[in-house]
Amino acid sequence: MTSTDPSNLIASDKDQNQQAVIAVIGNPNTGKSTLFNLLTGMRQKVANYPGVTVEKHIGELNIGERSFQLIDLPGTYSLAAHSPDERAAIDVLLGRIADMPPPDAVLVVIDATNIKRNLFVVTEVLELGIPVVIALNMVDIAESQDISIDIDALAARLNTPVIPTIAAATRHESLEPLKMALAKAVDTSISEPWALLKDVKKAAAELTTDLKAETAQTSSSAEPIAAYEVQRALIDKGGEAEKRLVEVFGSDSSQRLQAQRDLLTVGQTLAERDANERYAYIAKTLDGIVRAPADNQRRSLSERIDQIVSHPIIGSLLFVLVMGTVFQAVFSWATPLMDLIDGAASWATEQVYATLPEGAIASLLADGVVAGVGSVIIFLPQILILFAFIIVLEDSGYMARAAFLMDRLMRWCGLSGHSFVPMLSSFACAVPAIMGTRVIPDTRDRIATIMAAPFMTCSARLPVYALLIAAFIPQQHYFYGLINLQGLVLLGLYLLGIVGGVLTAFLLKRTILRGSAPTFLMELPPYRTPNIKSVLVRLVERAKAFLVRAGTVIFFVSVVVWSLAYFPRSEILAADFERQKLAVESRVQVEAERELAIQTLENELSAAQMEQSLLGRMGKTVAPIFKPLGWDWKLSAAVIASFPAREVVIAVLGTTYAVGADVDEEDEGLRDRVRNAAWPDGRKVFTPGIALGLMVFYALCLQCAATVVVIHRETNSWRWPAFAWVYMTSLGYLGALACAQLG
Amino acid sequence: MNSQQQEWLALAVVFLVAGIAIFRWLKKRRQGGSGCGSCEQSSCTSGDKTRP
Repeated sequence: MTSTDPSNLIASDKDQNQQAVIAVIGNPNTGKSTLFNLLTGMRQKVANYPGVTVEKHIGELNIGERSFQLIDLPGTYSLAAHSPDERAAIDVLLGRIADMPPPDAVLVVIDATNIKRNLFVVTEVLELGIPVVIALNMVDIAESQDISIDIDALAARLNTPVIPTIAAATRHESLEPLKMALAKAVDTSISEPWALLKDVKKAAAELTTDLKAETAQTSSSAEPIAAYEVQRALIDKGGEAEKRLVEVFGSDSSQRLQAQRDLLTVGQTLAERDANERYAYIAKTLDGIVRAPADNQRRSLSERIDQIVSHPIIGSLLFVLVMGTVFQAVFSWATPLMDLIDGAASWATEQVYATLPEGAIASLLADGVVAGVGSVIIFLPQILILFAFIIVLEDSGYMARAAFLMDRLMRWCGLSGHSFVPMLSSFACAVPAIMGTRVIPDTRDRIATIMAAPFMTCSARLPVYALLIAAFIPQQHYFYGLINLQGLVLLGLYLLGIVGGVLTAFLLKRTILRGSAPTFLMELPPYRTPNIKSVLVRLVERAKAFLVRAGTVIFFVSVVVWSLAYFPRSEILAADFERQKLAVESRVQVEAERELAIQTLENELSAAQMEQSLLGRMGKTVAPIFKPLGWDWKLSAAVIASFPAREVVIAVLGTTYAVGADVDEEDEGLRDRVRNAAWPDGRKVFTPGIALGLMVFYALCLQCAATVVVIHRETNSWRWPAFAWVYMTSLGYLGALACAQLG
Repeated sequence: MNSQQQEWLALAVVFLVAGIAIFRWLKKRRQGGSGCGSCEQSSCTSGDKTRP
């Protein structure tokens, strides 16, 4: 960079030893990240911005012999920061991130089909005084919509290079002009940055000088504040920039800002004036350059669909229907595939016992690895079906409408439509849902959503429900077989989770997270036909990631739980079993009866071994805590073992109730054993009330280490995960206690 | 292999698996991993992993 500005001269000296930095910015859904991936290829690293959980994507771009650092910033519609994502984007542009120099050039990616709105952020970036290159992306889609853009004229009017790019560019050669423009931009200097509201800029500069001079007299450690930040603080009343100014210069600066605002505008707010003048400038710039069919022709199909889909009544009914179909599909379509996986797991267990001699190794493989990992892999079909629906609904543009419809419902519990997609995602798994809350601008709303999300029935709760419902809820049909009692109970458990989450958000937003009702602005993209290849690629990615998790985390948990349930072995019990076995063999003559008697003995032996194993002892230690819920030590041990991951309970119950190998929720043996489990005095362990209590416990309790960790990561504190754990566990306990006492 | 030997072997496998898991976890922590690499991506639908 060469410049006459002294501060830039320092930057120029530094550049000789350091890679030049190019920031990539743009509205969401402009293909910004795709372009970033194409430019950098595999030369990328991902980290977090300091102090916040916003991902920092940095890649290396080689142009000729030169190498540049490319930073992919989170998508933003404007430089007025409201969410953590947007704040991080602006901090990078202003050089506020530690160990990261301010960018030498900015690549702004804009959507050619929506050029007017996309130019808004362009005009803001141009004011920063950093050289800009505009990538006019999706020109192919614009062409297909009969939108023609005079690119050279646009570049001339904006006095900035504009390079057309194609949405799904696969060949790197097509990016050569863009690379050349970027290399040139890095070496460009801007002596006088362009400004739209010149009076605001001047007022901001004067105020900055004044504030700095005053602070310098009272304090020597004042943080540097750029004039641009003061300009933003003037425009975005109550925004992040103003908050920062108050932090640095004290609360007096807020009054000074307001005094300036009053001087700069009459009859409208400065933010309104800024938006109006910016859009007027954009309209003038685009005049005669962009020719597009009238909006009413181009968007007529989307609008016609929206008349039905976004209708308060018809739209809501349609939404219920769509969601109903999704859940129906998740349960019914997945069954054949799940049976197949189940069969494969049983076969693997049989093979292990047939090949290996009986003992610890065979048990580790069959009861530990196959039963543990198998009981999780069995959900792969359900997860893939659910995600196929979510991806298709998202890509088609329906999800945005669903969020819009749900805004009304969410508003009741103090949240907004922003929270809907994370809530929906948590029906599969709370972890990505909690990560998804980053799009929620208000911190209080975000935390309320994070606290509510783990209540939704995730895919790991399904097997527990399936086992308990099959064991304790009779298969009764009503209305000519249309309604099944077991299905009704499952629906009830889903509803219980929803009610739990909604009430939690409601209570939090009215007590410790009290705040004003959030505004919800969201872009409704036009309806599109989802690209099959893109859907498949993402599904394969999901399947791969899920299997990797099953092969690592679940594998580890299974092996550890198995070892706790297997060791220590009692030699006395084993010897006693051998004696009894010999007695049976000599006493019972009929082969079938003999085998049955030996099987019973084996089951009793494994139950007895289990009772004195580490897990058994742990179960007996904690049993008094669960005694009021009517649980025996076996159930207590299984529940304790399932605190890191709730789905583990199936495998542990299988072992504790001495069925042995290949246990899953379809296992008749486990179902019967659970149903017939008895106390030493012969009373049944599972009365209807206790069984229902157990289901309620699993519906409300936070038994997922991954969720606890992700809450910690997303809230940057241990206070919220600790609160969530204690709150949800207490709620689960109380729910189970109520059911046990009433049942 | 008698049952005693089998038990020792099984215990060795358990400790090996636990050791590898702890090692991987520590490695991930040292790298300050976030997002794609260390999250439970199994159910993440996002292309850039920062959106739901």
